[in-house]
Amino acid sequence: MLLKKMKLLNFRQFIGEQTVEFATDENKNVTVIMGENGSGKTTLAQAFTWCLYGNTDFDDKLVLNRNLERQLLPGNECVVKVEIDLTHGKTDYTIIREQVYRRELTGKIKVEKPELKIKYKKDGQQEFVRPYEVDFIVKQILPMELSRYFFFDGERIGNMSKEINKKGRSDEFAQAVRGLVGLNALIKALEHLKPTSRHSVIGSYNKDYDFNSDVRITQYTKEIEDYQDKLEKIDQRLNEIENEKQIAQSKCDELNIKLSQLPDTERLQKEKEKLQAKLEQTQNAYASAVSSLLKQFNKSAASYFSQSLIKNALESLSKSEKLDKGIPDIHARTIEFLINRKICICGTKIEVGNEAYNELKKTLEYIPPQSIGNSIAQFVKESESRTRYAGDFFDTFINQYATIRDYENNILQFQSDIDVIEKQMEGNERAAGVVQELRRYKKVISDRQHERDELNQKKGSIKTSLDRAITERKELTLRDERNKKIEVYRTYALRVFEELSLTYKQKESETRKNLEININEIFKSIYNGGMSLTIDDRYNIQVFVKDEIGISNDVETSTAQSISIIFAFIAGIIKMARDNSKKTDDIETVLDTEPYPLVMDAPLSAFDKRRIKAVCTVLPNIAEQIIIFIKDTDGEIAEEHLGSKIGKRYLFDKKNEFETYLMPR
Amino acid sequence: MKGWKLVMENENNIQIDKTKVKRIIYKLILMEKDNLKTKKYNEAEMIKRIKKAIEEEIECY
Repeated sequence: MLLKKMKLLNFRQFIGEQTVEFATDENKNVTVIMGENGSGKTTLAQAFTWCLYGNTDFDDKLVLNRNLERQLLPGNECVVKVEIDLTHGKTDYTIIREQVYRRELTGKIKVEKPELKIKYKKDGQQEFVRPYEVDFIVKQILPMELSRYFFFDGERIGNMSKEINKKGRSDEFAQAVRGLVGLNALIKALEHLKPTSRHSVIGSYNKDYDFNSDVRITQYTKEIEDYQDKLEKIDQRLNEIENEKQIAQSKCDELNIKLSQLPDTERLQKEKEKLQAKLEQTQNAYASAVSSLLKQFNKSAASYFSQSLIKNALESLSKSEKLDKGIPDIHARTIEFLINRKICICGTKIEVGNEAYNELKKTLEYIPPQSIGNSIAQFVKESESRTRYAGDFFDTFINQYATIRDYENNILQFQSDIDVIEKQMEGNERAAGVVQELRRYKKVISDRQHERDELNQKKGSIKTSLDRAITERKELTLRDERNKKIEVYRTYALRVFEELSLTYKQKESETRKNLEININEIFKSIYNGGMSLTIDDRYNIQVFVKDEIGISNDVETSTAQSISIIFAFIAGIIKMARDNSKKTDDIETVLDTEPYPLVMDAPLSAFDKRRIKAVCTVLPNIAEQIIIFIKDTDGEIAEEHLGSKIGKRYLFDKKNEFETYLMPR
Repeated sequence: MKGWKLVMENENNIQIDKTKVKRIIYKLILMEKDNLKTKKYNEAEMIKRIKKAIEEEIECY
């Protein structure tokens, strides 16, 4: 989307018709609108929101100019209108929102519902979008929930930067990123297909089977739906647990910071942090050792425990003489064919009762489907292979188990050491309350982890039962033509789900990696210093700084850092969306996004001169278009650094509280 | 049963035509992308539309 022009009519203090044209040139893509405090910067920024979505952030929702409202005579009416010319997806649109204010004979003002109209150019002709489609078109151009990332004000940046310091509260980031690079479409598709939900595409095929063909289909379907319900409930709870854990973790982080700031507990807290780091390291090693042990167990345990049975079976088979007379890969149909052809492969004539005929008839007794000789040969082969798997299972298992026990002991030791330190801290009057609170949140985390593990175990067992019921139902449904068709649809839907899951994982991780690189590059150019950012899989942003011994630590961010992060984040997203639109990969083409402008209201107030310079140099090179509303003091510095990038300049000429004019400079 | 023979099958296994899977995926993403912006269809309607798209693609030669 590229903003070209905005026309205002009687919108708050902008009395009469006033027009502002925006810089759209690739090399001069910045529009600077300067004015003193209270002159109308925020109003003009809000005019975008009113025009597109019909609302503003102002407490007073009446947008008619106050002077005109006062002068409006009974029986007369006055119109407020905002008109935006923009280009989106190679189409030129004019978005018009107007609202009629009427003075009734009683003296009261009647406010009509704001009306949205959209014009666009088709084959050089101006056409109107049909009234019932106008909201859809606005949503297509820029959905409201994404708009705040492109139309933002200083206050909003402040709120966003507070968000960044709270782990687990960065849903807005996640949503914005996924939305802007098109990943939300994939997430939605996966949700709609989800095999474990009975209401999804895959789940709803359950209802489409013809249950009259076999009563067992009904039984299995009921079983499947019960399992799906249970899985949905577990997933829901797992999600809640994750959020509760994140909130508790964020509280623990806050309390730990508090403890490290208390002079009496500073040393103990440092010691505790070291132990905490060791504990986390050991917990990770423990988790990976347990997973490896379970893998080994799943692979070889059955073979190991069945060794004795296999040995007995093989001994019994070796004592039997007559079983293994089968001819490999020869089926009864082959022999019957030769008998009917009356000529053997070797050329011998086959006639009823002759020697060749009798031999072939005898062979029929030992080959599939009648013979078990071949099956036994296969069984012996598989038994030998199973015995090989079982080989060193016991020794490996014992060693792995010993390692796990060591980890468990170390974990207990670290936890006990941390406990001792916390008790020492509790002895300190000022720290006691904080430590107690910290313990409470730690218990919440540990309880939730325990609950999560139990639920995951339960989930695994339900999934196994669900898969078994589906396989058994499939055997029945494939016997009936109508049900077979449903089974085919379901199988395709399942394959689509599997492939989309893989694509999503790949795209999501690529997106995060690219975003991290982009944000770091931009962040470094705005906020210099030895800091870097990482983005985890929940889109939490962490800031790291290199300390004197070269170890990176998560640090608390200052306001200027946080605001720099937000700038870097928004610019990073815009850059990524721009880069994405240039990709030619098939799936990227489907997911591509439109480049967007940045409309910023007083964004630089939290920065010093050096950072204003950095922001002004970086942003115009990343964003497609910049529209900046700025107070005169910041504006002079900004203008100095935006320099040749400025295409249009405006000034607010404020006559009084209810009258401001936009003047080109 | 128009187009049915295109789906190969052997006894208990249903064979999948990869080209059709790919086409369904693209159709699906476009439908979702559009609906995210317009919110024209609710969840139940989307599920119906997706099922229809899958079935049409399988039945199509």
